[in-house]
Amino acid sequence: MNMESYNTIYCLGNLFMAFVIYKYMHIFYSDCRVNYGLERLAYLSYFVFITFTYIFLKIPLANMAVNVMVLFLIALLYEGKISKALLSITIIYFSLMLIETLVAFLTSIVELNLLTPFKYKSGFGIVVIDILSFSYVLLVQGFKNVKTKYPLPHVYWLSLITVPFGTIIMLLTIFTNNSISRNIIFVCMASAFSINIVTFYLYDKISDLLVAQMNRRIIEEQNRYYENQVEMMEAALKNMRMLRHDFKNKLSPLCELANSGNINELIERLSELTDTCRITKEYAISGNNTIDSIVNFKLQYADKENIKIKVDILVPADLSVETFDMAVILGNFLDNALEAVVQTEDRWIDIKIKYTKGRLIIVIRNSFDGLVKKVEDIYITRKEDQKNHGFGLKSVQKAIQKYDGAMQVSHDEKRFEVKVLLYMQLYNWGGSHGTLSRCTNG
Amino acid sequence: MIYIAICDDNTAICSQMEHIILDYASKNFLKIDLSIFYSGESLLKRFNQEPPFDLIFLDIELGSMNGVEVGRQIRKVLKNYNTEIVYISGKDAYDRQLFDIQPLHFIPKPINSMTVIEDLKLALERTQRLGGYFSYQKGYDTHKIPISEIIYFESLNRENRIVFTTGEDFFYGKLEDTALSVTKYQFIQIHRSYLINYNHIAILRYTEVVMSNGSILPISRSKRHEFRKLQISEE
Repeated sequence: MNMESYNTIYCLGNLFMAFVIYKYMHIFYSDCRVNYGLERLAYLSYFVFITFTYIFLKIPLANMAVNVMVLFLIALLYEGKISKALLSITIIYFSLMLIETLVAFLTSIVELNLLTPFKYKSGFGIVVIDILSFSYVLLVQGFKNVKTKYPLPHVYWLSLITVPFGTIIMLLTIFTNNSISRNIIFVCMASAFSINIVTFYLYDKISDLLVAQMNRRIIEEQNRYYENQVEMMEAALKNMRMLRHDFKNKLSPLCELANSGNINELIERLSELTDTCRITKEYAISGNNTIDSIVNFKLQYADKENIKIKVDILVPADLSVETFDMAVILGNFLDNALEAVVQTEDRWIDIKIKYTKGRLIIVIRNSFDGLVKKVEDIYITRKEDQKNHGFGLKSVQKAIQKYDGAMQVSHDEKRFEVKVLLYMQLYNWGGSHGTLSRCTNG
Repeated sequence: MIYIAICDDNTAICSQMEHIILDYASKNFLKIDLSIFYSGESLLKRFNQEPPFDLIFLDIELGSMNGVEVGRQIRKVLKNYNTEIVYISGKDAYDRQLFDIQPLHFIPKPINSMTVIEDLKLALERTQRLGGYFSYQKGYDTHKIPISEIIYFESLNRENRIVFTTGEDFFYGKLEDTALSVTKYQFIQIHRSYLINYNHIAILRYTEVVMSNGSILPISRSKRHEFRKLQISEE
């Protein structure tokens, strides 16, 4: 094969390799947003650099160095930590290099010396390398978990990156030692290659585990928060019951004071009592304990904040709604409403909850200052700690989904409204209709 | 003329309610025919006569026959789903049997006149929406059925089945044409074969509805989302 046609094939091969690397990189980074034009330019310049170093330098080690450097720069384009970029390009570069070496080894007898120019030239070899690399990338494309943006803990990262480096050093040692037989070299290379694939697989699995662990931790934290809330509500309710129970005991001394004409002390005792009553003002008295206690608990400071509250709850006393789900849904929306009204002069919250035709419908309206932050039709919190508050809406949506329900949020300049619909049929409808006819078509 | 009944064994409450309603009627030039009953039995007896009541204020804790039973009789035995029922209640908690009767609202004692008037307005709005007739051709005869008595229409090939509170009938026509003629009366097509009266729905689920006569009708997959959206904005 003459030199010119070999160089052409080599260039074309490099162009294809740039595409393969683009594909490969996307296994690690496809979820990340990046400027499309810039990305193309980066891969194009990768191609140019590699080709030029090959043409002008022809020293494998220099080629390797340039390759790794440019790859690293490309990896930095994408969103993610530097450690991830390092790990990704190590895996990318060494797995592709292994393929290359494997093919080179199989198609000719290698006399590899890192500091002397290439001697091995085979157009056929390049085509085989390209095809193999591409197939390999397609093969590992199934590894989806490596895309995660969560940083790997250092221990994992170090162990993962040691493997490709270690195998490469081993292989180079083997290559430079001329006394080893061809078969043994082949076996070494094949096992090095499989070790690297396995490492890649491990990386994928570890990322998967990490994401799962992270999600679990978030959910656990949420659950703890809501359980805490429910506990507090129950405690408050118990407190109220005790107070009511105490009432008789508290009233009789008052009677005595009145009888004995001790007006001053009577007034003092009475004002004490009114104070405790004020704290436990009840807005919701539907008889449904779960809903009542959540609403009353959330609204306990509404009076102090000068918020006008209107509550209309028409729910069966024995409709057994899940306390947890109610705490999530009602709790979140009431929190939001309370937060919004304090920003305004005219403070009011209007709560309507009704059970009708097998559905629980919650409508919460409140005054607000007309400022909303919206991203793609989703209302965003204005609170400082945006990251943590995003979870609130997510758990609300999850709870609503559990009941096949839906929510609707709307607003004008002064009024904010949230409506929630939950399908909650918990008993056989109309006891007198023993047999319900069912239409089957459709 | 709007027909309203008050049913409570407490005469003081009856006269208070009467006062609130008549006062509102005279201020707003409404023609209201108001009847007062002191027991559930006497109220039910009056149901045999025309015209039917548009709205009943019904005490839950009535003497011999309580308000829940009266409501059940009206809905399940007399099959009347047009009369709006507003319960007057002395208790804070409501049993779930009450919700089967689909009351318009509950008025707690002591009675607040604003609540009564709001419920009255709501009931008036609803009766106005429901007053109307659906007519269909059968041979040379034209049949007329009050909209409020129609539970649903079902399309069967070239025929339509009309199901109403007292029975059913068949007539030729397309369901689409029927749907067009009842658009202003809260009819909803939940399926290519079913056109239902929203006011005759007893139970709503995401995938199906139970009608007031006990029929369970499916909501087609493509309409579920849209129908749920409609429900949210309606309530």
